[in-house]
Amino acid sequence: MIELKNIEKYYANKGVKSYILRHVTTSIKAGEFVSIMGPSGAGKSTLLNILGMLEEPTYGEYHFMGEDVTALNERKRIELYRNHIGFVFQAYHLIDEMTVAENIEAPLLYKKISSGERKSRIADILDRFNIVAKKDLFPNQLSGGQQQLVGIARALVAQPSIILADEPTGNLQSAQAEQIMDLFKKLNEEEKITILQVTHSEKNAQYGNRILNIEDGVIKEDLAVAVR
Amino acid sequence: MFKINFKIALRNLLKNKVYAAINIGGLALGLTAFVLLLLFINHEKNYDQWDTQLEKVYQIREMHDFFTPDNKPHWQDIGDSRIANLLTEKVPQFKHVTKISNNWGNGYSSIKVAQNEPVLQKGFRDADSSFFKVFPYQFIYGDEKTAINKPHTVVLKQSIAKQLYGTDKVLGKTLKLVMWRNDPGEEYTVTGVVADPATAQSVAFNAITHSGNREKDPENPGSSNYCQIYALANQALDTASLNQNLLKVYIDFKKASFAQRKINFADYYKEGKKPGLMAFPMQQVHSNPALSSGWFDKIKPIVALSIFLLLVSVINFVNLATAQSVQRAKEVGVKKVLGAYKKQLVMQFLVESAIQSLLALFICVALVEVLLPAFSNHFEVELSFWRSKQLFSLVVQLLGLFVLITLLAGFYPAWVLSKYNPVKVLKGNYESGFKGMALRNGLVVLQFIIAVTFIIGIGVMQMQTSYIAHKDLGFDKSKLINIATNYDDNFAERIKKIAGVQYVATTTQVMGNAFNVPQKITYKDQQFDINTVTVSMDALPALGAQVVSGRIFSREYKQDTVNTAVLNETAAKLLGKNIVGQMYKSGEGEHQNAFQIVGVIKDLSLIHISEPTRQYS
Repeated sequence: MIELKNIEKYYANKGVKSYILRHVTTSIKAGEFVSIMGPSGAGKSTLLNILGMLEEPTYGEYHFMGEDVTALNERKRIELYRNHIGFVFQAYHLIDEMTVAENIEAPLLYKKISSGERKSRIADILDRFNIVAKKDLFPNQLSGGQQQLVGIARALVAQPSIILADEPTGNLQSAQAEQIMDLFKKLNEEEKITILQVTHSEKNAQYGNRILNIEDGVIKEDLAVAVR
Repeated sequence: MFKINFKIALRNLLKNKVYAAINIGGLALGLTAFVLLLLFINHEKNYDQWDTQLEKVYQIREMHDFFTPDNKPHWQDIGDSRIANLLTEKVPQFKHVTKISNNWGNGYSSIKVAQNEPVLQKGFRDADSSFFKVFPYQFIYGDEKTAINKPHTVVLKQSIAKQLYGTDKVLGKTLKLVMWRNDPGEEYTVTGVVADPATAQSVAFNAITHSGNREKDPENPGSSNYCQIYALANQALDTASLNQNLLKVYIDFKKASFAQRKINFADYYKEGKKPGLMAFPMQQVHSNPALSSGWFDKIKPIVALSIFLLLVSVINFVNLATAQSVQRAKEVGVKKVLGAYKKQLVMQFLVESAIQSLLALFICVALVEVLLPAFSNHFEVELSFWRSKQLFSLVVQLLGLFVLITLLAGFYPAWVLSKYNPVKVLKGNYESGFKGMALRNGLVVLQFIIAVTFIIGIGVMQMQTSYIAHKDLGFDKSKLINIATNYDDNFAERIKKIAGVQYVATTTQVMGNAFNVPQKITYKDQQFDINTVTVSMDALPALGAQVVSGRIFSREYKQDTVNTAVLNETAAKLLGKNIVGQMYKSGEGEHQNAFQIVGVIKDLSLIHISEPTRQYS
């Protein structure tokens, strides 16, 4: 599904290159649940952004579902990630002026999905996540865990093939965090959605089936998680 | 998508009420000024556009030096009445030619209907019987072909008919028309009522009278009767070739006329004096009037003013919107991550600007309705908004304005917003994603420059008006009335009998009028140039002139009825000291007169400062 070959990312500052990622080569297959771990500043988030096509690598090849991402123009790239990638953020990033239902609807609007289809998908996902009662509330009326649930619902509603999550439980208490991680696991196992998360927590990493350890922009380890 | 964007826009406006109020209110003010101007320009541009036949009507202008302010020849819209006949005979392109009296004086005449008190009315103008053949006024009552064929007939506009009689069914009724003082007045019969046209007219009138005097020209070839002449052509003509023909006809006419009067054509037209006759398209008359500048030249400063005002409010809008955009950065970032194109985001923010300018436009329409009466009054025009007969074109213009404002005010903020880099804003450092500070600073500076210029302008105007209002003029104007008319002893006596009238006097120098008589005088063998004003006995006490030395004219001194003079301080200084009682001479040869100076008064601020005042009687 994802092929990275020799990805490099650096910023040139007065002739000095400061590297964020170096020689990153890896591949991720459909249905995997991968956790990217490493110390702060190791380049985890940058890697995630490159995978999500929000940033471009300085050098290297990136194939997403067989397409050469670096060769695509902006419009094509937006289309590609709009259709296949769902994002979940640490700070949830719901739009404050939109209700829960509207937030979930937003990605569908950009995918030009008909109004009837939108309604049924929203109803479906609200139901699945048990947040029907909250659909007309605004984000600031929800708890952090509930907001992140909405954030995941928003990522899922567009039926992506992969979810990129940047420390999805970083702002949550452990009980809520566990709930979210269980949800991810369930989505991965039951709906075969590929999930890629950046996390600090060893415990969260254990929910997945593969861990990429990054240090100073280089993949140090690529471990399979023992099946529990 | 539009629906949700609309909702977001409203929620944002409600959340930031103060911001919304400033933005929308500011825009509404700027728009109001501009729309008022737009109404005025529409009004002016639509002069003489009320009937397609007017495309074929021409105003005839003659080049001559009668009635010109500088005594030099100019193109004038008043010409020799004989030209009308000349055109009818010699220019086959003209179907009908009409003569209409000029609005002499202030244009008022006194109208008496039945037993009512007489009223003063403007715009009762005398025309020959062709008037309604040239100008296609729509008759509500009466027959346009025959209405003013007979002498002493009058055709009223519907509005004035209602004003005078209370109804427009006035056919056959009579009114008495008194044109000037001592005019015994003449009775006219109403033979028609015409509808008020949709747009303003250069040949403005309330009533067209037909006295019969306009039909004939003076018999003596040396005297001429001046009036306005309009011609209706078969079709819209090429004025360049038409005017060549007109000039030829005119020169032949002048030559024949001069031959009768034994004047040499070449002698008459020398030193830059040239014969001239031209036809001027009626629909361009209002923007190019004879002898004065067109309406657009007059309102240029106001145009600039309202454009600047609109510009300030647009700049204000742009600045506030871009400053506030930081709050929207997250929304932009998230939407980009969800797969929004930049174009879609630009559209979203343009819609937001559009909502605000639409609200501003509504407020502006309300404000215009409120301000319009005062505005119309000040500029002496009849403007209306909802009742305007060009409502459709007005609405189109407003829509155009709305689109322009939305783009002008909304595009830059929309562009700035949609440019945000999602990775940066979602990590929380908006400022680094924020560019365009230089432009915003530039806009603020421009806005301040315009505003400060306005404030200074207002200050200067305030000082000017207060100077005019409070300047010591040397006379007491509060109890003074100026009647612009010929002096007549009988008339003066009658005014004096009105209770409360203290003095009645006449002068050759009216307040604010530049009618000076410059003279050379000889005083103690020295020549001086002074301006003189001739006054009657009571003029100086009536003006409340303050005596510096000597005395002012008085009936107690017999000699004051003739050859005495009062100087003002400035002139007195010019002549030297101890001048009261001295004599000076003015005029030459047998017209030379000696004047005794009887007094000196404080300067009267009329127009010029150094004008001595004196009297002959």
